[in-house]
Amino acid sequence: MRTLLILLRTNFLELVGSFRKKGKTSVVVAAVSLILVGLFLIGMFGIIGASTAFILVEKELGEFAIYVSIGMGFIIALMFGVTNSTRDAKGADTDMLLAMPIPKSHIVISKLLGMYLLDVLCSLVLLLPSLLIVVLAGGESSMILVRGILFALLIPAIPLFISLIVSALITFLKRVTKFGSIFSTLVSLAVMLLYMFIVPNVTSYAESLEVSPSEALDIMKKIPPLYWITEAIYSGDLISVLLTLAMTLIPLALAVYIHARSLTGIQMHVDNSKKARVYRSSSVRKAAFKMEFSRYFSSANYVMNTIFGVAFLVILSGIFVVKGIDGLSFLREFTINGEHVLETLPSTAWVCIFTIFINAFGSITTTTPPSVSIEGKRIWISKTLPIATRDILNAKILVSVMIFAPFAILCSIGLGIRCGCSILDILLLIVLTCVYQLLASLVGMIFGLVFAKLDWKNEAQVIKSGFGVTITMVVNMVLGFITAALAVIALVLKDHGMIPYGILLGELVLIAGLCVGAYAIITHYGVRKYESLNG
Amino acid sequence: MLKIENLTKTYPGGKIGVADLSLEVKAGEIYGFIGHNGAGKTTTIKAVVGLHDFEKGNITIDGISVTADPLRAKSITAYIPDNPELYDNLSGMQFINFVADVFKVPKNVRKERVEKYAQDLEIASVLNNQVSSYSHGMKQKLAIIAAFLHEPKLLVMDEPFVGLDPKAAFTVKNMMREFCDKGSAIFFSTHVLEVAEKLCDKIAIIKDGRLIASGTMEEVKGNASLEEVFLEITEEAK
Repeated sequence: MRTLLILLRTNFLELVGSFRKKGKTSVVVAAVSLILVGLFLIGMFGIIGASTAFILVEKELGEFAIYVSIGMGFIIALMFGVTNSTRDAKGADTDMLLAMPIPKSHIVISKLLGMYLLDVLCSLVLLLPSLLIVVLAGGESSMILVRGILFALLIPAIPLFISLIVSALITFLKRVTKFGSIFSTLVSLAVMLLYMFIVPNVTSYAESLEVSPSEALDIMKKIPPLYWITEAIYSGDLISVLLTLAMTLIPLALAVYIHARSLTGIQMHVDNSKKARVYRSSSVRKAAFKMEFSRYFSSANYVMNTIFGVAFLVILSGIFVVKGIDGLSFLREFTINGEHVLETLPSTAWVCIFTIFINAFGSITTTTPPSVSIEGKRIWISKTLPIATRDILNAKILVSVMIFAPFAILCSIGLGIRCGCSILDILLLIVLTCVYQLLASLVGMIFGLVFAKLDWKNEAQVIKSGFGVTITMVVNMVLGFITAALAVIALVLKDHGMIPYGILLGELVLIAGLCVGAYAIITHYGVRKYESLNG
Repeated sequence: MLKIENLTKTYPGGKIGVADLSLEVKAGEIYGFIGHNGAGKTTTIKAVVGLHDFEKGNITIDGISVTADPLRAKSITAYIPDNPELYDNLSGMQFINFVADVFKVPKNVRKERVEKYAQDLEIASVLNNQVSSYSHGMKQKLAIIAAFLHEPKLLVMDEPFVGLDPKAAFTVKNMMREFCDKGSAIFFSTHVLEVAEKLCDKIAIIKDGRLIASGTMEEVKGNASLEEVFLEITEEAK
């Protein structure tokens, strides 16, 4: 027990320490920061849970309110759990702990407890307001509250179990195939998108929901495990209670078992010795590009933090292409001089709108800002090999453009055809969006070089919170506004013959000019800066 | 093959890394570079391979200045650091293909060499595994294969035997000898004086950034052991 307490205390101190910024911040300030972050999350999720529950209780859908809260808590816990497990299947300190006189069970419990407590917190923060509103405002039995709190302690076992399964699967796939990292990225992305589409929109869903209690019951029954948990809390139905206990306790036991096995390093051995070794040759520039490309896709963290723009662009464009303006309700509210004009817009106007739309996503899809810092201590490789520094930087820029441009082209074509744009208009749209993406990538490269930080311990430090990343987003946003302003002017002048085209061509010239300037900075200052870096 | 003339490197804050250091490594030679921790070995090596700039002096590799024409100098050099940080998320084979591409090693030649070196260093079975699963010694072996792959004219190694198992260390020593017998040169730092004594044709001893002894093994140590001479010389230089 003593060692377990020591481990728990150490885990807590490590968590507080992560807020201390290289020890410059005092422990008290770090602890206060931690509490504030916790309160912010509790407040944010709590408000969503409470407002949703209130709307549903007003519509006499108390049971459905509990069902929605459980679902949301489940998704949030899954998002935290899966994101965590895709990052680090086995903690960096595990070997050290296993070498110490600490019972293995204590290590397992201390590791799982951290994840479990976070999930319990998510579950309680969402469920508790719903339960209180159902009991107090809905006039239901107070036993719902008691049962709800008890089950809130068990429900997190399910997302915890799923996260550990995902983690084990990723570890296995990384050993047997080279697609492990891609799988890890896709899983994280899927869970993240699930969260982003459901949690922020759940209140408006509740508002628009017009169903009777019996119809709500039919909706709930579509996901039986969630329905059983809801029934166990709401009515205390014995079968539902037993099913809920089975659904939570069995995964909890399995979670402990899986984690214990992964800790002792009992790994699925894979013999790669008979796998044919592939010898492919490329030119130096192509090799540099291939290396950058492989390194980008081999880091789930890197991909996760830069791929959202592409994902949203593809999803929203897809909806628009399939459903037209009706698919995106906010577009129907788009007015110029108080007129709803989208249905009758000329081709040029669509080019203006789609330029703003695609460039907005392009601004957040640049991979260049952390591309220098991410080299870290490995920078000796590129610096000692006979590759021109300019080629190394070009490869980084090209990767950034190549990740977004194909999707920008596809979406431009799809959207253009859907809105009846001419081939020339579609070509103009493609060029405008691709050149803008090049500019965003060049800006990212400049700031990535200026604020290069090679002495990181965890790549997330430079991918997520690097100063270069932040300032690039700000600058790209400003550039986005400028280009959007030009597109809006062209849109307003849509009925003035060739003038809109003139403005769009002017915009193209402006972006191209900025690209030339930015590239000149990179090839002069940037090359010198890169050569002066030491890992 | 490698000529260092009056190399001087000062770190920010005034700490002297290397002061007025000169030495020459000829083709076919294995040149050992020894000294205490912080003596300036790694600083010198990093200046040779282009990782550090320097204020004064000149370094040429086969007559090519590392500052005036770094790409050409690098194209005939290979470097193995003391702690090879490699791309963890790539497989060993992906890393080798990358290095081979950069040095323009033809497909059939790279296949032949990789198979041979990987077999010799007993790493063939894990080449398709991710580098993150490698031990320190395995990473060192991978860096060694990548370095030998293009048969450079000059091989620069920083503590190449750290982390290698005895058999691999023996293999690497043989590879180094064969490599120099073909006319290339090796410049390497080590703390293992027995290895330096047996392997090196020439040796240089550095202390506090200054060269305090250099020459053939016989010239430096005479009839005594290298260990005795090293301790004596470095004590005298205090």
